[in-house]
Amino acid sequence: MALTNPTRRAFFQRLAVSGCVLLPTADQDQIQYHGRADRIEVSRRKQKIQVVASEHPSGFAIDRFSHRLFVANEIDEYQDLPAGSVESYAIDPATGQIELRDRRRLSLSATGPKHLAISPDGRHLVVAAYSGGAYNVLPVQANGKIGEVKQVLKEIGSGPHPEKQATAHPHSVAFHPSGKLVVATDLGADRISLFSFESGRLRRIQQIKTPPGSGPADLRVSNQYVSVEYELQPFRRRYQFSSINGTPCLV
Amino acid sequence: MIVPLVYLKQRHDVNSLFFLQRRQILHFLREDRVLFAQPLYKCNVLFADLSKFRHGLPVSSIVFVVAVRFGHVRPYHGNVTPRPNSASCQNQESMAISIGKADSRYPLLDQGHNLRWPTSASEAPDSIELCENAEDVVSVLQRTIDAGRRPTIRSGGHCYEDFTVNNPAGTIIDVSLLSASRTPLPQGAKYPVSAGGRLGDVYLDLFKRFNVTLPGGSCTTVGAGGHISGGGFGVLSRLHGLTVDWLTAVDIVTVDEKGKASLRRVDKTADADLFRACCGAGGGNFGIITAYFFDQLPAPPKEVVSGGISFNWADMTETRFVDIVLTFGEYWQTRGKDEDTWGLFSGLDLSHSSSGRMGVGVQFCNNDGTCRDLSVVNEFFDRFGDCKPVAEHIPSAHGRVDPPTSNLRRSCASPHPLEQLPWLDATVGGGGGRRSRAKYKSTYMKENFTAAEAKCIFKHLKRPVPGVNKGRPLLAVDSYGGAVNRPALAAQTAVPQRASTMKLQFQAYWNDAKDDAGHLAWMHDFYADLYSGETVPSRYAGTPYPGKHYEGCYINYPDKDMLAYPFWPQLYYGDGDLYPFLQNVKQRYDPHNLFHHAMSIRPKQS
Repeated sequence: MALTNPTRRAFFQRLAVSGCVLLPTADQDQIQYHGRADRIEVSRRKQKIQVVASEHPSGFAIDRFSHRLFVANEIDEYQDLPAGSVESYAIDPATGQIELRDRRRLSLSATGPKHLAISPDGRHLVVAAYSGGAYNVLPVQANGKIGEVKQVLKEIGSGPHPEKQATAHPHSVAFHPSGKLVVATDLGADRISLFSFESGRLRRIQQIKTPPGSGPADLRVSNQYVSVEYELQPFRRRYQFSSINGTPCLV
Repeated sequence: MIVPLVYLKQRHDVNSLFFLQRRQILHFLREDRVLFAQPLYKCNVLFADLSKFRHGLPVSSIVFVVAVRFGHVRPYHGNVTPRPNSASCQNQESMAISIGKADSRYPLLDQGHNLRWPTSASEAPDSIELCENAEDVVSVLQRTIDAGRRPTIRSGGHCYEDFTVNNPAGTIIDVSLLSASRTPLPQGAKYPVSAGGRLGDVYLDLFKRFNVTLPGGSCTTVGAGGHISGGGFGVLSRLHGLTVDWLTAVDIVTVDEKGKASLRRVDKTADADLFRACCGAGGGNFGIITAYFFDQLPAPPKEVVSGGISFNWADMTETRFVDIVLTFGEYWQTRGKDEDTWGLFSGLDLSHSSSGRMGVGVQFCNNDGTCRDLSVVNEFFDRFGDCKPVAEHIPSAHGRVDPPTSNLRRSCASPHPLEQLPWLDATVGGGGGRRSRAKYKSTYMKENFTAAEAKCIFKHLKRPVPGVNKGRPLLAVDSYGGAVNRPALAAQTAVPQRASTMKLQFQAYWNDAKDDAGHLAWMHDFYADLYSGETVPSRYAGTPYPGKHYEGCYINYPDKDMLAYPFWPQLYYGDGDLYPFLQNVKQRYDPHNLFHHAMSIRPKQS
C-alpha cells in the first residue's frame, strides 16, 4: 500500500538530517539537539552525550522557561491513521539530557509535519503539517502532556513547481514574541500567512503571495521583523510588522 | 484607498435588492481583496482595498449602506471602525441553518446513531450546517474550506465509525433537509432520490409517486446519502441487485485545485470515473453528494411473506449449532443460486448465548412479486427440520427490527410459522433501532462455513462479554448473491464483491461508556480468532482477505480495527485495480484531500 512504501525521494529526504536546535546553557555553552531518521542526538561541545530513539524527528521547539523540548515527527502514519505526531520531552537543566513525556497524534491527514512552534506562554503548540497541507493547534499542560488537537486549519493552494507545489505545503511556523500573532510559510502555495492567535485558535488576518515558484520556507520572527528564506529560488525577504486601522499586518 | 462594500444577511434581502452578488463576494474573498468585515445592523460591510482591484469596482458594488428598517438604500456617511474578522462576513453568506455550540439543538445534532462519537468534547465540531438545497451545500462548503475548517458530511447519521462526528473544531455539513422533489431531473432520468432522504421516506415517496422501489436496505432511518454511495444492499438485493447497479446519475459538489466548490452532475459519460467511484466508494471520499437519479427502478413486490424459526440456546449443543450454521450456508452456496430462489432473503441471527435464542428470519416473494407459490421458502425451512427449531417466536428477516402488529398480516398455509403481509408494511414498518453505543464488523463469504468456523463461532457466542453483565452481541448472517452476482457489474461500479453467497455483520449494542472496552475486546478477539484458521493464508491472518473462501468486507459496515493491516483497502475494495482507480479519482476530484476520514481513499504518494 502506498503509505507504507515511501517513495525514493521521501526516503532520501528523511535519511538526511532533518532538524536541529540549540539550547544555550548557563555557563556560556550550548546543547545541540539533532534529528536523525530514527533518533535525537544530544551533544555538548561536539560530544554526543545522549541518543534517544524517535521517529523522524524533524521540527524542534524549545520552551526555555519550563525546560521542554517539543518535536514534530515527520511521518505519514501513526496509530494506524494517516497522521503525523508530536512529542514532548523534559530537559534536565543541569545536563541538557532529555526524557520523553508524551506523544500525541496530529489530526487526520495532518501528515509529514516538518516544523512546530511553542507559544511564548508555553501553553500551545502550532504544528505545520507539510505533506497534509494543514496547521494543527494542540494545548500543552503544565506537566508537559500534550492535549488532543484543538484546531485544524487546512490550506489550499499550489504553485508552478510540478512536484513540490502540487498542493499546499506549510513549511515553517513561528510566534510573534507577544504570543498574539503567528507567522507561517507555505512552500507549496507560495504564501506567507499572518494569523491572530487568541484562546488557542488561529484566525487568518493576512495572506501574502510570494513570487510564483519561490517556495517560502525558513522563517525568523523578531519583535518588529519577519525574515523569510525561499527554498525554490535563491533569495530572502524581510517584512515589517505594521497595522491598518488597528489590525496587524505585514508590509 | 479602502472602501466599504455592503451585502445583506437575509435571504429575502438578497433576492429583493441589488448591489453585491453572492458570486462577486465569494470572488472578492477568494482573491483576498477583502480586508475586514463589520456587521452593521442587518447588513455586513466588507472593507476592500480599492488599489487591489485591477479593473476598478463592478458598477453594482459601488459603496452603499442599506438601511433595511426603512426599506430603501442610501449612501453611507458614518464612521465605522473596521475590525479584523473576515470570518463574520463569510458566515452570513449561506442560507443554510447554522447550529453552533451555543444553540440548544447542538447537543442532539452533534451526535449520530452510534453514541460512541464524538469520542470527547475536543473531537466535536464547531458547527453543524443544515443545508436545504445544493446551492446551500456549495456555499457552506466554500465558506468552510475558505476558513480552513474540515468538512464532514452527514445524511441519516448512521455511520458506524467516527467518520462524520469526530471533527475537532470543524464543520458537519448535514444534507438531511435536502429535498429531491426540488431537484431538476436530468434528461432521461425518471426517478430522483435526495441524498437527504431517509430510506423509509424514500421507499414511500418512490412507491406513491412512481410505484417503484430501491432494492435497498431494511433500516428505514438510514439516510440515502451514505447508504447508496456505499453500494446500497438490502432485502430485495438478491432479486434486483444493489442500488448502485441501477444508478444513472449523481449530483455531487466537489472542490477543484484552486479551492472552488461547484456542483457537478456525473454519469456514464460526464466524469464517468467519478460516477463509477460514487457507485460504492462515494462515502466522504470525493465530495458531497446531493442527489441520485435513476432511469429505471424495479417495481416493488405486491406482497411478501415474512417469518422464521428459532432455536433455544438452553439446550444447544455444539453439534447442533454447527448443523444449523452449515445448513444455512450450504443453501446459499447451492440451491440459493437458482434464479427461482432470488426472491428469498434470509438472515441467520446468531445471537449471544445469554440472549436465550437465535433464529432464522426470511422475507420471500416469487420473482413476479407475488406469494402464489411458497414452495421455495418451505423447502428452505424444511432443511432445518433436524435442528429442533421452536415455532412460538417469529424473528423477522432483519432481526434488529421489531415487526409492528398489523391486521394486514395473516398466517400462511404453510407447515412453518409464516405470515403474509403487504410489501410496504414489511419494508417501512420497522425502524433502525434506538440510538446507542455500538461496534460492527463485516465479512463477505463466497462459500459455506467450515465446521471449524462454525465451532469457533459457537465458542465465542458462549463466551461472556468480559466485564459486562448484559452484553448480548450478535452475528447476523445475511443471504447474498442472486442478481448482485453479475460479474460485469464489478467493472461498472465500485463494489467488487460479486461472487459472495453470504454477508456477515458482527454487531454489539450497549449504553454505558464503561462497557466499551469489554464489547470491543470481545468482538475483536472473536473476529481475529475466526479468521486465523486454515481458510486464511497466514500473511492475511485476522482478516477475511479476498480469496477462495472470502471476499473481504463491506465499506458501509466500516471497522477501524482493519486499519492495523496495511492491506485494509484491499479488504474493502478488492485486490484488483479498483483501489488504484479510486486513488486516481481522488487525486483528480479532491486534489487537496479535503474530504477525508480514517478510512477514506488515501491520496497517492507523490
